[in-house]
Amino acid sequence: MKDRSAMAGSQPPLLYPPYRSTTRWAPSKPLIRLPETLSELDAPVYGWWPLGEADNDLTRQSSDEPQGQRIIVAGRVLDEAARPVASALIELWQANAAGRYCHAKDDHPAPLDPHFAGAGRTITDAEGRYEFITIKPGAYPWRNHDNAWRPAHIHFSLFGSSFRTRLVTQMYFPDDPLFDYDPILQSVHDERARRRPP
Amino acid sequence: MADRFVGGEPITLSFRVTDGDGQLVTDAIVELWQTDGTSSVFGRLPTGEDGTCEFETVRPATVAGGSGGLQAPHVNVCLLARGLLRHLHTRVYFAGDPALAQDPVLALVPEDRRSTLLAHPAPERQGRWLFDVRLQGAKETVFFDV
Repeated sequence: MKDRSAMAGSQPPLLYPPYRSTTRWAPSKPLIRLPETLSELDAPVYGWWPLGEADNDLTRQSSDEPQGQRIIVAGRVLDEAARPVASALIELWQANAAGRYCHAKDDHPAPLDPHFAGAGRTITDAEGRYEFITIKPGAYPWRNHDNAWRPAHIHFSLFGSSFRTRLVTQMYFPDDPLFDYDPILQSVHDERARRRPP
Repeated sequence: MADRFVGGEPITLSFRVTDGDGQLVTDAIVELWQTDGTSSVFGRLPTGEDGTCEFETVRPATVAGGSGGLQAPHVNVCLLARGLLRHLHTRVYFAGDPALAQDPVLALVPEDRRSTLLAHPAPERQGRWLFDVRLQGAKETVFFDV
């Protein structure tokens, strides 16, 4: 989870010009730091958001199996002191095996998979563990620069105990040759943070 | 959201998100975190083609601040979007609220920028409040490091 003392290298800056849209979207004025005592809010109630049985198995959310390489994505959620974070809601979304999102705004001409919606969620157990079954997403082109392709990745969204511990990140696959050309991955300046093992 | 609230005046809270060129941001996610007087509640909506999204919620009450003070009624907001490397935190306060003058968070904000954190009542309908999120520009919204 978020550790402000580590922000300098392990978290991306808001403005990173090689990722072009940040030049129009990143706030230009410094963030105003809030003392913790002024931003505490109890964890919201997720009871009205019941989890479904196949929510963490993206290969079982349709009448038939999706195309692509089936994989298990598992890990733990730890806080800044490496303590497990239990009962954290994790959401995940991704492109299909051909590199196409099931989203109205994705106009990449790769085929949609009628059996893959590409979204899942789960809750961490007492040891902070989570597990998803999914398929390995494909790389896809985007308009950031000439011949730009995003390395295969899975988006993660985490809810900790309050909005202060909200985290949105991306997971990549080892040794992808596209890493060096991807401004989103390279926006994390600390190379050790980019490669941090589970 | 409103059916999950136990107390507070029902309101419609409408967001409009624009970027540094004044262009509408049509695929942002707006998350609300607030109290309903009893517990914490959460809501989430995407902006549409007009850059807006609209929550049915309640106007929160004053809450305890640090060191014994009170915070004016406010809604915590997380903004997430493709094109943002990190999500942004801001707060919605309600224009005209007498508690604004005592709010310890607004006191941390330069005076000439405080107005960017105010929602204003919509002229055409009572109970509807409008809040602009401007990512950049002369009236850039104040964002917080929480």
